[in-house]
Amino acid sequence: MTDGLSNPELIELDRRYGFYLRRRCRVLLRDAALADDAMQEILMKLLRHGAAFREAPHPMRWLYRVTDHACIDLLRRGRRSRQASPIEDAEDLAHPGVAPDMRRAALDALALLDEEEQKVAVMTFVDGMTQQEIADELGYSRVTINKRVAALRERLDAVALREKGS
Amino acid sequence: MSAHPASYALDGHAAGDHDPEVAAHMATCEVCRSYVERSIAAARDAPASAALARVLAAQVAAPPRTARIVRIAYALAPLAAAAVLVLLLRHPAPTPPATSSSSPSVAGSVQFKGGLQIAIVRERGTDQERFASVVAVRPGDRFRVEVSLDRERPVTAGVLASDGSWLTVLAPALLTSGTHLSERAAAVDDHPIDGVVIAGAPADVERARATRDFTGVTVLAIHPER
Repeated sequence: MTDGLSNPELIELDRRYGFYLRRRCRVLLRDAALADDAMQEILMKLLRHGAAFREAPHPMRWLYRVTDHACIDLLRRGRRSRQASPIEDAEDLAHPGVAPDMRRAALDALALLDEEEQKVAVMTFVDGMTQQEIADELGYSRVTINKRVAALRERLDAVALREKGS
Repeated sequence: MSAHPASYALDGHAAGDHDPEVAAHMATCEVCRSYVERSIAAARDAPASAALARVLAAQVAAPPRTARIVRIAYALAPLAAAAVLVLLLRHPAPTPPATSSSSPSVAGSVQFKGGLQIAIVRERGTDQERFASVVAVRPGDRFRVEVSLDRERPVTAGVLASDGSWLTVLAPALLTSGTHLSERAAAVDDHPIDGVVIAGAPADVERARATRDFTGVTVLAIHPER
């Protein structure tokens, strides 16, 4: 068995999960063309190195981490033009447990955060994960995550306030 | 942070993954049920994946094997008003996975050209089905290429198989804006292999065939059904 998925596996994966991965790319990158680039990179990665997907206990969770990595990598490389791109359609399908203004502030500020903050911000304000879930995912204590979320929230509150003022 | 399952759990549920905990939550939570229902509806209405077609096309984009004898036979057979082309597809030799160093780069090099959309109309027995991104074929299938244009322009379309063979299904012509079906159909033989439909301006298609760089043309992937 190779490290990657076969063409039929990739096609089936895209049929079942593709919409959700593309939506996530659009939410994180807020640029349709860039999201398309990200999606292409993700599918290529899966084709070459995605064999672990077959054993993933939570397929969508596994795929979202691959997606986040690709999107954050693109943001870090500066290939973005997020300011001009509305995300109304993505907002319409925001997670029910996350306050819309905090979600928007997190997405607005995403490119300004460091990699660790980006992960915590996405898991907290996009995915609606509990602090314990985030701690388990990132390998930190819940107390550490609590402190990071509090610091992030303070920063994002300022972003949200600026947004309201502008 | 939230009394609701995380988005990956809700989205996984919407995608068809079964999670008893999510199912139990949904039974009592109208907000999450609505989120999942809207997700399912949005997924159903979403356009086809251009990225998948490009990734699959890139696999077909391996350099042509010059030593291989490619046989494409054109056999005329009645199919409504259209001529039928029989594409003799053979089992390919093992092809190494495309790499960025040995084949055209995928990211950024393979693009869908705005204003020209293609789809495959697959005929299987008495059934007809339309595909806008990827189409699975099996022996006996026939398909034609549907080209939609936003303005008048010269267009050609054909099928590039992973063994390097090429079959023109839409001869170069100046087409008006609107939707056009290729005048020829391709028939799949007993041993289908991967391929890609390429459509665009004749010069661009010719260049894409020769270089396996799909910049400036529109592509759609074909693969054998499991």
